[in-house]
Amino acid sequence: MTTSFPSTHYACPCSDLTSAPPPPSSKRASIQPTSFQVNEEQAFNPHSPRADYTLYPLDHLLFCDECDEIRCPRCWTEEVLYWYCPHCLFEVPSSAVKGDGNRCSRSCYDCPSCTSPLAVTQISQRDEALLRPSDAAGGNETYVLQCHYCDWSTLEINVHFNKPTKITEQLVKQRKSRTSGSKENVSSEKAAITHDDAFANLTNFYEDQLNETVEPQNAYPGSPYSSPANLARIMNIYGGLSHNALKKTREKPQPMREARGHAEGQTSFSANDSDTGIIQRLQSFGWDATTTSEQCLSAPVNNDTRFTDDLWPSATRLRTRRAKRCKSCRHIIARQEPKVGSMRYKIRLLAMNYIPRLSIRPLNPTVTTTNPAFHLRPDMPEQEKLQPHQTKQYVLTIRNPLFETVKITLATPTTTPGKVASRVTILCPSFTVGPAGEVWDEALSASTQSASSDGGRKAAMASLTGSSESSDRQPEAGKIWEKTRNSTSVVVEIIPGSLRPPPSIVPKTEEELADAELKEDDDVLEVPVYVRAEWETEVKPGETVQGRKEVGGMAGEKVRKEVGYWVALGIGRIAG
Amino acid sequence: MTSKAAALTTRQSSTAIPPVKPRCKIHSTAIIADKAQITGSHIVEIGENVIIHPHARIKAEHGNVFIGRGCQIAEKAVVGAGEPTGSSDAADMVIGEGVSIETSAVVEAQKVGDYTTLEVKSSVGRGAVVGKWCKVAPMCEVREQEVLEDYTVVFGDGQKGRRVDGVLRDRKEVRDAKLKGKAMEMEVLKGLIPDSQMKWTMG
Repeated sequence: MTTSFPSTHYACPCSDLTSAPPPPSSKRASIQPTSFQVNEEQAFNPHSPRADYTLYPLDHLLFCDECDEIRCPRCWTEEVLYWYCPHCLFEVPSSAVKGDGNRCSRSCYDCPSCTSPLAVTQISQRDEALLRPSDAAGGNETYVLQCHYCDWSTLEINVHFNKPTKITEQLVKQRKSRTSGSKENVSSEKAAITHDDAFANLTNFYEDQLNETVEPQNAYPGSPYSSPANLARIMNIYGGLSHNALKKTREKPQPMREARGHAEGQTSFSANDSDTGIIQRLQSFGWDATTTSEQCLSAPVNNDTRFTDDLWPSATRLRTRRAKRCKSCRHIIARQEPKVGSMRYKIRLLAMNYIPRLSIRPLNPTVTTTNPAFHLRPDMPEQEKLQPHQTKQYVLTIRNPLFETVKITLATPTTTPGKVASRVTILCPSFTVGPAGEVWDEALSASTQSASSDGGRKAAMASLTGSSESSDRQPEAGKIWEKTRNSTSVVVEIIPGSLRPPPSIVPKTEEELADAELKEDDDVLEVPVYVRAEWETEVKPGETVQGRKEVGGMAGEKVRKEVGYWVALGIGRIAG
Repeated sequence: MTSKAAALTTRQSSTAIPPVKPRCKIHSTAIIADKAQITGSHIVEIGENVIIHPHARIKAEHGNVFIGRGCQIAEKAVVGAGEPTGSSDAADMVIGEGVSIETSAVVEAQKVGDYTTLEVKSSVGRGAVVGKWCKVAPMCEVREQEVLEDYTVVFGDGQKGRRVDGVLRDRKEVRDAKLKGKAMEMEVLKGLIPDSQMKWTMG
């Protein structure tokens, strides 16, 4: 899944793939589960195809503090904060968007050939040599729209402007004069009518027709029966319509007719239409000169164009700035400031500030894995592969972002789910992690245990000679490896399984063989770990406590909170 | 990042082995920055008013290089034929007048026409022939042996990446405007870059 190992991906509990295994009798506060076994069937399988859509890196996840749950992109809704034009950065009120559409109305246009923004450029039409000094002041300045990227300009379609503002008006005028000019030139009645005009004529005609020929909807007004057919049947039994209504129905309504002629919007095909001109053009300029569907759909004015030479610049589409809301409780979990272009967030509830963060690294690193940001060469060195059946020890570090001490319980299936079964053992599955706090609290507090942070000669000597104490430490079952102020590390033993299944006596069928074949990324060793964090927090005055809490929250009271989620730890690829 | 790596390796190689000094014929009005590099054993001819920025590289290792007047070769651009692939003989490179080769461009063409602009990080393959008044947009490439007509614009990717700029071809005032822009740029750069062509012409 990822190219660089080790990696950590968090699964949002929203999917049924990752719903937590039922915690044993957690309702009874007196029974504290120290560890619980995870069955193979309940374990989250990071190799399943659906898991790709559930696992996210931590920076993609938000957290809802009302529901106390992780929110992934599938669990939040986005709502529009404001609309703005990406080029002039002008905020357009949503009422204007509803009325005028989702395009910028302030002279921002996109190049039809490369879709980058067009800039208003001044060109001088007259030759420099002919300018007299008196003419210099009142120069005949003309303006065009020029693309900086592909050098397209409106001169290609012979459009130029007299002034640099109100481009929209001038463009519309030029377009109208162009199309109406071409219509007058053609004398025959069968001349092509422009798309816009035809549409307008057609809508008007059919609206009129509908008004004239609408069938009497309500022959029996004020009746309690909803179905007109039933009502008609019943009334027939009683003798039919009232006198007035009978008179009206005698006049047969004109059946609705279709459009005829240009005035009503109808265009007819005649065999001697000028398709030959189009075909010749196509033959001489080739496929590349025709418009793609994106170009045709870029603006209504371009919907009929066949050739790129006829494309008109399209107004820039507006973009939206959106806020994210939790789907279940409608609480806003991320929202930016309403000022256009400001990247600051008013509200931003990141998961990394609420849930314990895991990271894994080898205990005895043989290859130093460097941060990809520091690589000078573009090609990455080959990452070492894991040898099957060799026990490797890893240090799993849990960092706590909360201001309270958190009790962590880890659970993982003994063998990893998927085609390759590797054995995983967490030496100490249940422990506490200290609270995060101010940086200088660490300096003042005496709770840190690592010798290296201790000032003094002993520590300096130890670090110089390669401290004997830390390198000879052996990981022990049930013991924490390392504990700092707000993080705790434990050792995990992993024995990678072999890629090839053991030879079996019973010959496998074709299907079983096909199933056993390794597909892409099946050799990646990913360990699913279920993390459960519990902590106590004070209820702030004014806050309501919802969710799984049994004890109703009153201001100042301690309330137990917990959060649980699956994490897929990517260790590496297995060789073989 | 690739160019940084390339620069690192080339700097190392240049200190390890003293570079062969090319036979240079540089016009007196040309301005060649001190940190520019001209390497190779073939002839390098540089016309008048050419400006070569620092860290530009002209490689005459596999063929001669002729640079027309009024050209501009920006930083980290690499001008010069690369390794010959196959049985093609040594390729001379002729760069026309007023050509702007922007930063990090890689030019291995056989011929670049007058007043063409090769934008930032563009690349022109070996043996290509680029017409005059062309423009290769940033990060676009001209394939090997490709021939570009005059007034072509290369942009975007894939199929729709070529366009003949009719405006440039038909309207002289637009071309003049561009020329004026180039001339103004040269004026500014003349004052900014100190000349050290003596380094290449002496000895």
